[in-house]
Amino acid sequence: MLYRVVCAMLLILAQPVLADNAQSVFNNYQDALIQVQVIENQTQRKSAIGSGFYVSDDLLITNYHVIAEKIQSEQQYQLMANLGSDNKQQLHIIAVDVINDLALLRSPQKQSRQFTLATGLPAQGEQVFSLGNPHDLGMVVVPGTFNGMKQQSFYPRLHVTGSINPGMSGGPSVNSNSEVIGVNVATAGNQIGFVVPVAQVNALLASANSEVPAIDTLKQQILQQLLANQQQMLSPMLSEQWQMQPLGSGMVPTDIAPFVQCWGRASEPEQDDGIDTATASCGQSEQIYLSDSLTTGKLEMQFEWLDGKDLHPLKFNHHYQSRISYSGADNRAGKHDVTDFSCRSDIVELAGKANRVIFCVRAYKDYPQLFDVLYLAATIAAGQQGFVSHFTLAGVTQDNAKAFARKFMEAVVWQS
Amino acid sequence: MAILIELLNSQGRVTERHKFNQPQVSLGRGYNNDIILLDPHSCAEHALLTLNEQQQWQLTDMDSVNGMRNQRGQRVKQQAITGSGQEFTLGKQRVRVLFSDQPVAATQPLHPAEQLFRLLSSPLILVFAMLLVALSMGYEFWLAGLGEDSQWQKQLLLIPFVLLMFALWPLLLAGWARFSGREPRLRPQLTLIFCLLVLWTCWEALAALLNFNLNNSLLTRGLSLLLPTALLLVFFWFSFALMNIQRRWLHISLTVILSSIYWIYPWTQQHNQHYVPQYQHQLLPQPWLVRQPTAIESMLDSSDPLFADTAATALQHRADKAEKRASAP
Repeated sequence: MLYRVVCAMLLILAQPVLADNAQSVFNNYQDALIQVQVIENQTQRKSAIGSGFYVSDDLLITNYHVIAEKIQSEQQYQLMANLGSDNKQQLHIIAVDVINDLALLRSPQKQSRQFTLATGLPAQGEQVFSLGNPHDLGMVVVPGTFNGMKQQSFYPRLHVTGSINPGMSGGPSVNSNSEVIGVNVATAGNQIGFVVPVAQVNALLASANSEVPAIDTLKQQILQQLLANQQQMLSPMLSEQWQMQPLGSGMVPTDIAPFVQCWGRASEPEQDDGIDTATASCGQSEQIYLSDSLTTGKLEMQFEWLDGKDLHPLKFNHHYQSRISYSGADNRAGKHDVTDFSCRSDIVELAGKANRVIFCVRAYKDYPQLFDVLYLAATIAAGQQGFVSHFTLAGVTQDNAKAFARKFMEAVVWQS
Repeated sequence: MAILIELLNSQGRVTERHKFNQPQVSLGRGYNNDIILLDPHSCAEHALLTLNEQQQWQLTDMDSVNGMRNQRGQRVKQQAITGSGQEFTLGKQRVRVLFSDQPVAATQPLHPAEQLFRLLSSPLILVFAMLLVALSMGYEFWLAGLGEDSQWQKQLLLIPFVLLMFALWPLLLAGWARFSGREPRLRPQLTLIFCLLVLWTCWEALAALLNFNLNNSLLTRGLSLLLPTALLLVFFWFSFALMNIQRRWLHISLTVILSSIYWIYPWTQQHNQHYVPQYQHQLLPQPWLVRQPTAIESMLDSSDPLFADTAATALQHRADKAEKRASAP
């Protein structure tokens, strides 16, 4: 009986406590949370907004993607902190971390109230609050639940259930003690949000100088981060043995890294157009945002097994060829970001079988040493069966691209 | 000395040629004349050509309704024939008077390709060439058709219309020839164009084989640019030779205009090569592979220039950008 009463009382008390928490977070930290605006110089209008929060009396944290335009075209934009009621202050970029989508800014306006960073992650299922400025509507606090680290992700992300909306990017997510556990970064829709862990924020703070660097220095930093990241991402894949499984007569990798997920599909038997196909594709769900027109840091693979059974070999060949006649990059890149693709196409022997192999390369215009590569191979059909394999790598060095291609060509073969 | 009278059509082409040894020749629509004119604007007794005592020919108008005009268009009553080749107009009929000692043009040698022209006139070859072209089109439709929804059998019905389209040029030439009084030679023209289409199909098959085995070799690329031009050149040369047209500028300019489409078209296309690469993707069944495949390592080694070239382009871009920034205020 007593147990039931206690439980009931706890239930009644719990609601106001929760509300209290959100309210206190709002009241205590309203001043430490600002809106970051990217202002276009000619029109004097906002071109991007996001949230930012004080971590010391003059240092702010926000997302890199909020301020990316300022770095891409320095002269065209200004970075402003909207402190409410016509109080706008110019912000300066101290450091960025494009891999984790973070930026460290300095504000001329000192702020006595700051967020404290949590020393560890909350327990799974614990209540957290995401703060920010969604849709330019003013500060909001959104309660949510911490669901642990995002699985199968190369870039560390916390998984929070709660509505993180555009504009809340760069705002903090805090635990019930109002300590920052991470920075809001993305939403997968349906109340699923992703948060960059506080450890990455600490790393950025530790690496940063107190001086305001030139934009070119920042770009150099970004290049170094991209180079280090692709090395870190690819080296385990290059050194480890790939798990292979058959797709028709072709051998395709299943798990080459925990963050690369594979899917499969086969054509339905009743949909008889003369060619049976089975496809498998592998890829990452996330990539690195560099600008509106450029994303990178992504790996993707596709495999297709074709069986033309009753078709005439020439007819099969005609349709087989059309499968490789068109291919494109997987990451977003504009004409100003990358060069044209330059390709090499040849008949190459892979595990004793002749293959049409196509290898295309494009270079990043602003980031020397980085390339996007595209690989496409089709086994020369002896009968009415074909095997197409394909991968794209975004933002890798020449050595890594070639090493990956070598490994891929050795592993992904026709097993006779 | 005998006298010759030529009747000319409005283009100046000779339609009739008469030779007389008598001292008097009558011209007119009446059936009693030596030369019976068909022109309704000429009179029954229109003009009289006579040799006088001084052994000089003269043409006299017989008070005709529409009269007689000399070369300058002046109406004349009587005109002495002072030289060979003098022209008159009786009503609307053009007439030329020649003396028999008038020299004739040099003999035209037979066209060196006359033997081939005779071959082109063979109906057997024409039917064979048309059949081959129709077959190659049918083959294309059959290749593309896949599954139950395929319409390739129905598409075969299009073939006669496509053939008719290719026959337009010979038909056009034949029509023009009839109008200008030349030989139409429709059949050799038809045979010519269909033989050329057969050659074109052969070239496509050869190109597929070359592309498959040699990738983007200079040989294939050069051939694929030059061959269409060469084929067009041959086509117009034969086509004009058949019609006995010796206007080289027309021949060359038609070839240049038509073949330049082949060169200009790819150039006018929008390039999205930063997004969609272009590469050799020719595939053929294994028996068509006549060369040794490359090894993985040499394929990778040959990819080095791709990195070097694109990196150089990127470097150039950065240099241009820095220069632009430096020159900006």
